Amino acid sequence: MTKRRTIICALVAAFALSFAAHAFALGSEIAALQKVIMKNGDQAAKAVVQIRVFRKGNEEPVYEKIPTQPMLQMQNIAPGYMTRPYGPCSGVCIDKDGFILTSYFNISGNVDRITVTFSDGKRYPAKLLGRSRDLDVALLKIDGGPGNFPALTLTDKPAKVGSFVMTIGRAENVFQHTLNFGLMTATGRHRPEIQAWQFDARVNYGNTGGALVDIEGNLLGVIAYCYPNSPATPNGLGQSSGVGLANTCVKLLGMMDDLKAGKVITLPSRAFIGIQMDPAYLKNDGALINEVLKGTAAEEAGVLTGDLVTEVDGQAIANPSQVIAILKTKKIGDKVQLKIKRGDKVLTFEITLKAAPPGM
Amino acid sequence: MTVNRKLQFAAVALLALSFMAACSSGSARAEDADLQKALALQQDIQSLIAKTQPAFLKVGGGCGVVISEDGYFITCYHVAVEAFRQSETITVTFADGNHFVARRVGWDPLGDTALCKIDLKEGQKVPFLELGDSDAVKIGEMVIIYGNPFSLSNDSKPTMSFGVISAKNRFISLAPLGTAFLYVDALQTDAAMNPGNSGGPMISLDGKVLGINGLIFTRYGFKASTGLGFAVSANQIKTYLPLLKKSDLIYHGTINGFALDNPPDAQPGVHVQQVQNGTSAASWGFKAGDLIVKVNDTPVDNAARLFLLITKAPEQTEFKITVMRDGKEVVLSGKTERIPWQPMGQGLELPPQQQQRQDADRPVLGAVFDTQLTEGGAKVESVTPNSGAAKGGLAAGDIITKIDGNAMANLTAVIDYIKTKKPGDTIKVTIMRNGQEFTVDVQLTRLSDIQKAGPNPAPGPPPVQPPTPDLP
Amino acid sequence: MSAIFRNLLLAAAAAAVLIMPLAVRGVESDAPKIPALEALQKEYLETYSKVRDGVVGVTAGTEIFSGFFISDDGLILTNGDVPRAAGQNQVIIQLTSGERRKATVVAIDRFNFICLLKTDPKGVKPLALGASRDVKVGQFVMTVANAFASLQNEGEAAYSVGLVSGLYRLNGDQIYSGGVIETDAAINLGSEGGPLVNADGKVVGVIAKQYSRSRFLGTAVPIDQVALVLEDLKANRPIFSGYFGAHFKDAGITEVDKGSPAETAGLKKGDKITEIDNVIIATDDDVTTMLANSPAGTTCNIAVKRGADEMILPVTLGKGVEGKEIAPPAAKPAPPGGEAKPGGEAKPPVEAPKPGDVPYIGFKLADKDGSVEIVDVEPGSPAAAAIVSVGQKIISVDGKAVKSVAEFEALFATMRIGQEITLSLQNDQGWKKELKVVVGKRNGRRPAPEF
Repeated sequence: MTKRRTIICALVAAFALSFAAHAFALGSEIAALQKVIMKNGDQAAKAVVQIRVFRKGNEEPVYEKIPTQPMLQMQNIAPGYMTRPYGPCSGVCIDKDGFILTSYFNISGNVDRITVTFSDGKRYPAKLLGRSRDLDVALLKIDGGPGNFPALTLTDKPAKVGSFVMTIGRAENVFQHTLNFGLMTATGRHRPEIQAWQFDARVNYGNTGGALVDIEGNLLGVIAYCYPNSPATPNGLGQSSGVGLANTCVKLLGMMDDLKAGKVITLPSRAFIGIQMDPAYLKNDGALINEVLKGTAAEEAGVLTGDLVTEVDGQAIANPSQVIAILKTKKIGDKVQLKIKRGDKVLTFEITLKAAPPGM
Repeated sequence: MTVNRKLQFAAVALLALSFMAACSSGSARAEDADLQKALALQQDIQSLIAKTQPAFLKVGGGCGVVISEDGYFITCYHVAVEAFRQSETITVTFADGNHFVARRVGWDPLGDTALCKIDLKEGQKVPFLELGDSDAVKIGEMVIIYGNPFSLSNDSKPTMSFGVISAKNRFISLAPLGTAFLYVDALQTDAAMNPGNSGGPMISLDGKVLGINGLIFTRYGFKASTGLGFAVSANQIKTYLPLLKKSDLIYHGTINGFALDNPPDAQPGVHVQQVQNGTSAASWGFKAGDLIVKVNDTPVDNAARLFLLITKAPEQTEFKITVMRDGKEVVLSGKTERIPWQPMGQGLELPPQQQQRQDADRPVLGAVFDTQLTEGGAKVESVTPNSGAAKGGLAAGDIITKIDGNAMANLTAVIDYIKTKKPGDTIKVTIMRNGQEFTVDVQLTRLSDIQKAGPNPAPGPPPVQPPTPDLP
Repeated sequence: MSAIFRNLLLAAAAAAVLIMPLAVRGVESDAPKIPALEALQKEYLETYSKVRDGVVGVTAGTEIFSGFFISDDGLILTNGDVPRAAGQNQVIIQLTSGERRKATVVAIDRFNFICLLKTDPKGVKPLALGASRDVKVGQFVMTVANAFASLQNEGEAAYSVGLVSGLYRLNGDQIYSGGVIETDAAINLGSEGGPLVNADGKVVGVIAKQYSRSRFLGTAVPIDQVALVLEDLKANRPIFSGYFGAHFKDAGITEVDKGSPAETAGLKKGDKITEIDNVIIATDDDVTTMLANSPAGTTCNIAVKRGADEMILPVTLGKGVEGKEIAPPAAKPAPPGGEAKPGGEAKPPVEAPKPGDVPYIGFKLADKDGSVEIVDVEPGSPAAAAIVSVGQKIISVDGKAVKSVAEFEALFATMRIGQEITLSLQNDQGWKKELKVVVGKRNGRRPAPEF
């Protein structure tokens, strides 16, 4: 009798312990990862909205006309690839009262009226408040509404390079968000004044203005800078190329008061001297100027191609990066002193920094 | 009940309770477990990045990777050629910001590979990654690639993208051999590759370099990733490494002079349609009607596989090629001949030193050809002013079908034939123009004579090939 | 201690052994310690090995596609463009075994834009079909296909892993205007017709050529849509467009059939249709364009106004029934490939200009700082088709310098419908480009500065 009970107890113990273990250790990686993506993506997506912008003079129904030739016969840029396609775009609700952040690109042009539709299909009119073309962001406010909209909170949560991110949009189907997955690949892009996140989760016209979230569904930023002719390259970064940028929550928080007040925010023009230095000059006795750009402060001051910069503001210079490091700290209107070796002569220039010419 | 019995019942009850607790909290614990697994994956990715990123180099407008601790590094030829344009030495920078002087060692233009070396002091070492085995890799294995897509970086830290090996041993040749980069044994990945990724490493989960990224296929002329990127394979680099260390310029080998097509009745093998007199194919012993079935011990069932096996190796490599002739197996053997580097319409110039080494005395017709036409002759895209072709009356749109009575199956045949001539020789060129056949006399001139005469010969519009390959 | 406790302790020790890590990893000196990633990689490899032998490369004329076996009688699903591409040539199938086989076209479904082929069934390894209704955004999917002839050249199907990144439908004016599973797994030339599979290796979609212009990501036809018509295809019975079940006039619903998908979705008589899948609806033609060419199983989001209320109702089109289809809109070209028979190439009929048609480019110009700037581009116009953008300045037209809107107007007066003009453009960053525009037609002239 005791022996049987012993055996039963032993089996129950073993079963209970191994059951607990199974709850933890074994099981598919794909199954686990996709469950987390779906659960946290679905939750975050409730705050991602579909935005429809009606522009003046364009009320007729028009359709996207994708060329019907096979891709093999395509030799040139596809019709319409570089222009904003017809149709809705995405935004993120960041406050239960209905403040919606989106990208400036989505609301640019001759706007007549804007509607915002949530994941339940309910649609509301919205007003355009503050915006910034340079920072590709715009703030909308929903007129009326119940005041309990689903929202993602702007926080200053940091994110590491190499961590998982998701890009969420809602342009195609109001009832079903789009979601792309990838890694955070860089921080502080692509200009010092912007400090955007860079990641390889796909970014395109459909999800620009939508949410960048981490694997747990926390908001990291709002997707931006997806437009042709971006400052980075003449052709833009290419839709769904694996290079995507988003304004960080920290940046957006800093702009929030101005955006709510309806301001149009522009970036201060960069202080620009106008010299290009030769990276292949490796004598470590200065920075060799191989081009002086037209219309810049350096040109006006009389700096010439071939000049060797040996000192900046009294500091000895061995290579171009040292020059750049000093210039980065300057603002428009600041003066900078260059000591230059030109042949046998040693010259000193005092240059007042101007704004960068357009396109630079 | 005795104390013992009470304790026994208590023990069983406890176990039963913990069993039920395990069941009910099972789902919550399972969700936690899922998140823990996801975070463990994320942590592993960050570990892999930390371990492999130190060997990454910023090289000119692209990237490179150090493959031995004495400072040898690999990048793409098309990156190196730009970086070394003005000088024998360049500055390269590691991800942590440390920069060094580097110089070129050996280049393989056709294979888009460049070997360079960092100048190190006695005993100084740098981080490196080993070259892996690109033939042993399986489709579906994960890789990470490093690069600087769209040159967005303000510093030397690369960005990365994860993906899988989508395909391997790919033969990507979209222009006649020698006129464009040949990704002869490429690895294909869906990790995001864009302009700026060139020269960067493709790294496996065990931290080895499987390939050097360099080519993407784009869509609609828009230079960005479409989920398809190619890397020069590590095994190809390993084959050429000793040669690159010894000499400046390395050439791949091929067999010239046969026209090939698919066998009738969907047979496996490659059908030899035609063999030209005086070419290496002829001296190998190939005959029209042969069915090529093996290269050394590897069966071949299509032309891409045949050319992969032959052109992957350096010039003057010996091969044994098995053909079926009249129902019997015949084994032909020989050595491959050089594929000269003659880039056409790609807009890439050789650095000044190499241009001097180019054979400025070689005979030329004076025409630029349409590389899209692959059979039925060679189509003239434009005629260089003051050349023999211009004086002989050739015009854009003409299709060269014969030279001196020899049928010209394609542009390669034309190039091969002219190589056997000297500047000053006159050849009879038969062309098809508007459905009619003409034969004209053309005197071959020196390449250097055309380059000096008159306005710069326009290279013509770049060859338009579906799909458009791009060099990141 | 009593025997029972001793035995319990022994049992606990035994259980502890059961749950210990199943293998102690061999020590590898320099390789990174990343067990989770290696386990993930193993699963990627497993899925590929399950699927690879069921995929084939398809050569049709000079074009390449992918296909996959769906049953061991040698039936292959592939893209609907295969018959047109093959023309008079034999369709050749390339298997991973290295073998090449001939294949014949069994049937074409122009709504799903897929095609059924048949080949010698010897040794084929068909793929298991899954259920696309279970597919969710965020789950893993893989493409296993003939990207750039990887099967014909390298003997293997190319593999890419991604997520289901979207579930929606493509708009009404294309060859394929049904529902899609969108993925960020790589889809490239030659992949069309290949399988989209889940992590278990079951087919959830057939890779398509089309994509959404705001997403530029690959798509696949959901396999459930194909399953609805598969038996009809095998038996070569006619296929009809998805059944809607509501009648409409001037975009207002006049009647809803009992038991129809429209009724199930909650559409009522009197509802005024304002939008279908993001496209604004004004006329009956607009409605039919969005609904007449879609396969059964397509879910359309239909926005209606009902009195003072507005709502969006998703309607899933039912199995097509003869006599109950929506007549396609009149005077619009049939989708190319719609009636494709082997040997026939269906070309869209070119509409001849009607009285009142005038040349039309589709942009609006303004004078700016001594040059002509494009201030608006009409979507769908010849200017949009040439990718002309707002903000660009026109420097010359066919080599003739243009410095003012008036100068452009003078040149425009000489242009003809169908003429190709070359615009030399510059943007404010100095970037120059030449674009060719084919002058279209419009009924009724718009006044300058619109052209």
